[in-house]
Amino acid sequence: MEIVNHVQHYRKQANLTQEKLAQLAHVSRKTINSLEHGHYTPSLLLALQISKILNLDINVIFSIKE
Amino acid sequence: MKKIIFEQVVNMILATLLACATATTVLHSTIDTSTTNYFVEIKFNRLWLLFILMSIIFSILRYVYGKVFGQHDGYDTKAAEFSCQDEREQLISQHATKITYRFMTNILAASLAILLFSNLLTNSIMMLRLIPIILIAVCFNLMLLIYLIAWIFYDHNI
Repeated sequence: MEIVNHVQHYRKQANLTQEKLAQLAHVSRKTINSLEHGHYTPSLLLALQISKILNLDINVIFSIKE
Repeated sequence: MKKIIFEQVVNMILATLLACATATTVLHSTIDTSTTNYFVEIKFNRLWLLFILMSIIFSILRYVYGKVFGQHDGYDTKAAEFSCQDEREQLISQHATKITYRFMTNILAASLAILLFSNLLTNSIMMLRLIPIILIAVCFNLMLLIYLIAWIFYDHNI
């Protein structure tokens, strides 16, 4: 099982840069980049923060791939 | 990553200086137990002064680095090499600490073996006094270096 995320897609849809999203989520740009490329699995807190920033349900951005 | 490189390089310089100063003091100090009066003379050389000076300079540098880049880089003078900007860096720090711990258990075990057999390798009393200092200094620097390398490795891979 692995967590799949669509952060990059919805971030671009919201016209946000990695830098801006990182700023809003209080993390580094590298963390957002790493997260988008699937190298890093965010904590529940960060996942909730991102979904709140992007104004979407957490299940839309993050899903479990079996 | 810059903050970890800065911190570990500073620590390695200070550890090496401390080891050199200790080794020189051990080399130049005299212990005389031949007479009824037990006589010990410990000489503190200029390397100690250099070590104290460098410690002060690096403390100032750490403070300045923390003030200038601290907010952007997540550097905290109290947390030092364990400074984290966010949860990803916290994870990197945890992984690096774990790797360092694993390496250190092996390195320390090897050091004990070297200490055990060091008296077979040399007859010189001076060398026997120096070997533990050299070993501790090497272990100290290796520990700092392994943490740095592990941190950089995980920073690229996570």
